[in-house]
Amino acid sequence: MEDYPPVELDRKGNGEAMSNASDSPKGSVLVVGGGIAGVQAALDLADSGFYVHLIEKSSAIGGRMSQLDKTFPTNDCSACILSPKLVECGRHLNINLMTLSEVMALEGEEGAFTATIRQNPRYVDPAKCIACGTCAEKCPKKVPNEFDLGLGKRKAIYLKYPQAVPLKYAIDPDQCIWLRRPGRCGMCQKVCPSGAINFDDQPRQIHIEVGSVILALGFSPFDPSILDFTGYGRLPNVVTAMEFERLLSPSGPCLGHMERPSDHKEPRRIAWLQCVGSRDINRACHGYCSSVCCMYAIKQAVIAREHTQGPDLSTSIFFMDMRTHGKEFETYYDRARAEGVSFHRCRVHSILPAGHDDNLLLRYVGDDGRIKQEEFDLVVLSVGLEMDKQAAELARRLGVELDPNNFVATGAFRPVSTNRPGVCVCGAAAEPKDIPQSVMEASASALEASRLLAPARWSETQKKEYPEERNVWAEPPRIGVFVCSCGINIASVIDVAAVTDYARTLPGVVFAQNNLFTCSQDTINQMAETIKREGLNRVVVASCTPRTHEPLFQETLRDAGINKFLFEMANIRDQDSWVHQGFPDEATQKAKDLVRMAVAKVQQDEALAYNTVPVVKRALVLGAGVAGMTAALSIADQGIPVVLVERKDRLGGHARKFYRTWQGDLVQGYLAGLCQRVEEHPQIDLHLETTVEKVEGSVGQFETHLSDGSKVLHGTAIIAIGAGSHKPREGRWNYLYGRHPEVHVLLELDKRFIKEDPALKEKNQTVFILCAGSRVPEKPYCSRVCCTHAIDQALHLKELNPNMEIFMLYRDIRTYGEKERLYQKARENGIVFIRYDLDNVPKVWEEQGNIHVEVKDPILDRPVRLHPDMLVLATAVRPKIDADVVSRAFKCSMNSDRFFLEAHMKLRPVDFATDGIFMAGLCHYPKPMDETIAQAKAAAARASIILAQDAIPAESITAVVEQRKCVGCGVCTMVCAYNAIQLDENSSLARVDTAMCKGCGACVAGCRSDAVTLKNIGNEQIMAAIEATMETY
Amino acid sequence: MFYATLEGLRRFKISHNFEFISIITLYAQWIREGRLVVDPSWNTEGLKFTVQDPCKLVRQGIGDQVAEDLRFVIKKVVGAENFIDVWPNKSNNYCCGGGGGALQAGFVENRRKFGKIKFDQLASTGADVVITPCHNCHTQVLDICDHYGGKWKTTHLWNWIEKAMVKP
Repeated sequence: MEDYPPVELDRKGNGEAMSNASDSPKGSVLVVGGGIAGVQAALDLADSGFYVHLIEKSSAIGGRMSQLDKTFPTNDCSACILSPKLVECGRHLNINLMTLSEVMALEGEEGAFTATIRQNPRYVDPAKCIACGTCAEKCPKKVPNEFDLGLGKRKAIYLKYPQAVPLKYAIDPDQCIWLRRPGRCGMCQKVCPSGAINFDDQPRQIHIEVGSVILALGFSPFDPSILDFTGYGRLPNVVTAMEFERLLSPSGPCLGHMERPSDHKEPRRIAWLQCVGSRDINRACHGYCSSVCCMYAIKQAVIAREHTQGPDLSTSIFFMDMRTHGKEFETYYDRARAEGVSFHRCRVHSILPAGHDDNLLLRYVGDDGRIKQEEFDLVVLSVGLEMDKQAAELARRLGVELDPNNFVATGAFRPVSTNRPGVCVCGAAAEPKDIPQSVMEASASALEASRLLAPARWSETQKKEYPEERNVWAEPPRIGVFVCSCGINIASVIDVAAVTDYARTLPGVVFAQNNLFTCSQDTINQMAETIKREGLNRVVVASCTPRTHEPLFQETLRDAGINKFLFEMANIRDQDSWVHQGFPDEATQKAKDLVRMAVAKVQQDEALAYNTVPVVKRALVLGAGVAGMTAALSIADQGIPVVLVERKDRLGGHARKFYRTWQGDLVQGYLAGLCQRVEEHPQIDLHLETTVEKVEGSVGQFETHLSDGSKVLHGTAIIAIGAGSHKPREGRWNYLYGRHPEVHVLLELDKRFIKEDPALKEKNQTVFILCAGSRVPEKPYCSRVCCTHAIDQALHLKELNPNMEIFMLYRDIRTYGEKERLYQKARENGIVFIRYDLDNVPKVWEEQGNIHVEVKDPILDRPVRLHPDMLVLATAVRPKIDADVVSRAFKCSMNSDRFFLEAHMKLRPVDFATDGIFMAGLCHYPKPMDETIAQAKAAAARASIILAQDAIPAESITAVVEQRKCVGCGVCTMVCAYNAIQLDENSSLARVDTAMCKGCGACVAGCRSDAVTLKNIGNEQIMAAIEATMETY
Repeated sequence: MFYATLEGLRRFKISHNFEFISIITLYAQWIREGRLVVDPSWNTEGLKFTVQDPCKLVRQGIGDQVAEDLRFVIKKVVGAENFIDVWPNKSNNYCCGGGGGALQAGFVENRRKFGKIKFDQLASTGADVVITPCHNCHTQVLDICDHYGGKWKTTHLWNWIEKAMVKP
């Protein structure tokens, strides 16, 4: 087993990569990889004042996440939560999206790099392509679609997937008939309505200058065809998990009706085999754990059951250790078991054809040790994650070091930095990890870039300027209606000319026009001209959907000098032509109705203010452990003042008790350096022995009262109050703790390591009990860190005394990711692992001062008695007692385990639902040092976005209270999820804080006195639209 | 030897400038190229053959590809119609039960009990000859055949190549 290369610590003695760059670095960043990590990093940077070049090698951004059906543990639709981020990325003024591009070389150093980019030809002019799809419809060449992993077909001219950004077609040069033999086909060129096809397109080489580089290179799913015994590639009904995602996906080859490949029948019995290409040092050559497969297999089993909506679907998962170590994962696992997913602790060797109906036969050993044989219709291989070969090649080309598993090498104290200064890494390219962890690292790497380039903030970005808006309040309505054909999407069903003519007859309408594509750049320009020429003061667009296009048209109004809220959209594609394809007459009728409603409503719309809130450029960080100090330094290093508040009389928090990280780095030296930097930093104002008493205000303008009497004005806050270890002083899991001097919880043993206690060398036998009081109904969550930490402690004990006998009593070993190598090393070193379950928990008692342990070994099927000199209990990481106080003060919520609750489990892992407040470290969930540091940097990055602005936009469509109707009942204050509505202390009537109001409308629905309304979605507008539906014409 | 070397090269990523293949693959290649000429016409009695896939060579070693070569050579040597495959086979074939030192380490009863699975599988083919291209499998298959009263002959591969070889 190869050891990892020693971690090169910082260049300034404390693990922080301080800039060596000149005082005038470049203000732009190169982000390589357009998956979720790259997209998040690009958005964070572009929003905080840097220009971003986002490089993607395929024809559209979205990465692996866009291929997934649902995501765990919330079962959110993957494409639905991802799409808005992609659209934002595609439209961002300060993100230069370069698809079909690769980085060929990177010269220079941090602060001033020159990157050479090769942009491969698309053969379709993106400025002209209107994504009508006519080309793909007519293209005669059908090829396997790699987006569906070959399970479906696409054409040689294709859109990567329906929600692709940019929404532009591309020609596959390896498949195109014309490009292979010019003159032979050219069908797409003939049918393209906008003349976008360009067969003469050439590759381009581009040099760009950037200050920093972020690698978000992603991963490849393991290819199981080298594992002959699985039959993958030979037996059609053996599929990989990625293929199964496509089989489940509504945009996949079977449109979401789960079918198996051989006969397109719905499978009734599905098996998942875990660890295919992970934790396998034989044929697969991947010793590490891929971290995500246990959870995705459970998710797939749960979703498959939802798809069939029948209890008669049998779902079996064959696993070695069930690794549900993330937030809410254990609950998800418990729920899956309760819903009937069966779990078998067994690594199945062979998948055999059953000999009939293309079914498959598995032989496995049951819990009772007997061989069982079971037939399945479909077997899913839970394939692991590996470094993409091309990505590894690219990393080498850029001089970035890889670890023995081929992932980009990082360190415990610098989790997103590579060996090359100024080049960061995030996501699965550094170690297999799930989406929230990748998103966190993306923000953390954005922070590293913005720390380095802080002097050049806003130097290369562009700012949109709008003309002054015309006041139209006193004008009679002059409404313009634009009816879109959407190529043939609308026009093939609806008589658009008739709808346009009809629109002209409606009251208030002075102009109506039909366009082939209303969203194309020339039509948009023309629309702005028309508004000015015709003196329009309100606009209706009848087209696709406001979900994707409303912001574009609203911006057009602003460009033409009209308030953007004087706009309505009639959804005549998604809700009309697409759903009533067989009924053109009725669909045309409905389109007219929808246009009439929109026209009626837009007359009632008012111009709304573009609210902004000025930002106080100061951050408050609560808690001075590793997370808090890292976050504080990350912000302070950008020249922004930070107030750091700590309840205790010293810095360091939980980490003071830590001996070393799982990578083997000693913690105390690092911690001392970190504390020193915090104490000496001119931008950090430290308040020890202080707590928060009261918080007022909202994002941009918080006012916090501290217990030392001071009052802090700050724009954002980061909560990093940490957690503690559970001490089992009583109850079932007490195990002599507090009653015998040689019984410890994990960190008490670390303290003895730090003190270099000589007595440890004299121990003959040590027993560890893992999950001591964790993953039980009283404390259902998994504490994520204990397996790895306990195993590392055991290895250290072996270093101190190689003859010591060590036994680890465990339930599942959860050394996820590259931590698996410690588990492997522990077994090589003779450490004995004995599994127990909740029906047979270990028994511990004392006889004449000696500790006795008895546990039932499931393999021997008999009790084993141990006589250790020392007993170590891996107890749960538990939230701080004062977490409730902080939660109330900052109005931010906690989950049922009393860890802080993020705004979105997957895509906003460090944000609270309350704007301007972020979290980091153990108060979010138990996590090791490297993840804590990454999260602290991520929180700092998210806070920096706000702190970089002079003022931030606030929602314009906010609730309004009509004071004379309000009775002060307080229902609105109870239903508001954002604490934006309160009863006024003097008048006792409801009052809205417009800076906090998100315009969700919960208070409007809740108010029984009809006193609350939403601007532009009030009774006038809605009644006008409803009355319009009743009109005959 | 074969597996230890192969696995050493693979697991420790030892760089080497030679190709590491089985003699079986070479037999197959030579037969395809016409350099080794074999003729199954010697098998006038229609002796039926089956095969054992050694774990270290196939499942843990090179994979199905060498198992295919093995079958190709046998069919060429004894006549395709005289070959009866076992089930499961190739990478999914059963272990003979004699590896890992089991043949040398005592516990004879346990070893034979394990070998019963192999015996039943081989016996169900009804073959007259079991070809085992591995000395370890050979000894175990020989022993379980004897112990459980099987009726086949256990041999290596080369014996039959020799029988079928023709001077070009």
